[in-house]
Amino acid sequence: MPRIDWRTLPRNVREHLEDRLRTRQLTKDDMLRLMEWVLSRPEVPEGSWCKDFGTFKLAGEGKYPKTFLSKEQPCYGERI
Amino acid sequence: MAEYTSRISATASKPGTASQKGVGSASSGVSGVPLPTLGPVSGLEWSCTVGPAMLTFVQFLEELSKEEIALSPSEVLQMRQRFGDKTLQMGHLREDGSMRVPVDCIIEAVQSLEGRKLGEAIETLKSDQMVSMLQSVDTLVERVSQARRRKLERTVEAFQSEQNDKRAHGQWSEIEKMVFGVEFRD
Repeated sequence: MPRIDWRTLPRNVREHLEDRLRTRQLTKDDMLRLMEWVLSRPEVPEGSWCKDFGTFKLAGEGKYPKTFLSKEQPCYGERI
Repeated sequence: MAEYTSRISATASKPGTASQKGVGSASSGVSGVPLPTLGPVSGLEWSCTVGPAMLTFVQFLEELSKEEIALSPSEVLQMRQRFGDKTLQMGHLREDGSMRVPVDCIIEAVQSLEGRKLGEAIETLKSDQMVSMLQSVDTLVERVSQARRRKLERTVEAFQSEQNDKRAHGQWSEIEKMVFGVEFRD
């Protein structure tokens, strides 16, 4: 099982995350949950996966994180 | 950033007691003239060893001035075996198994512990056995994690209330580094 390589997080995805935090669509609690999850070094499936944080979601494929989704957007891939 | 194993040993002592350890002790100058005690660590007798050598006072301050301290892979492994995965909440693991822990979070954690508990925690970390003082280290590890969370909260609050977009983007870079453990170069 691979672990996520955060260095590959696409620039446009990071910019989108920055904008959502700046405009308070995301909160500091959201960022805390994300940081704690990242620090736990979760293993992810080789294929598509999705992590639901409640107020937002993160989707990826194998070790590659792909995009952040709002809570209304549907998850695709294996839920982790 | 130094990539070596560092250990800071500290034992509780009476404030103002001259340390006999190291060339540049915190409480005694080279000419014997007492130096002012350091605020956060006053009452602590310290030495910091890197391999067989002992850090001078200046080297110790240089370490403190760095943004992060690197724990060696063996230290991280040992701590995970003894204290579980809460160890991971102190900092980001790198591919080689080492861990970077923000110095300011360590300082905040150390300052929050009373001197006796800090001494116990360090002695426990130095020991190869599980000892009854486990709770002190457990507390220290948790305090570093808590300090890390508080630092992120403060930075997000500053980022969201910053009026200047350029400064805000700089704060965002800090947030990215804290959350993902990566300094993105773009």
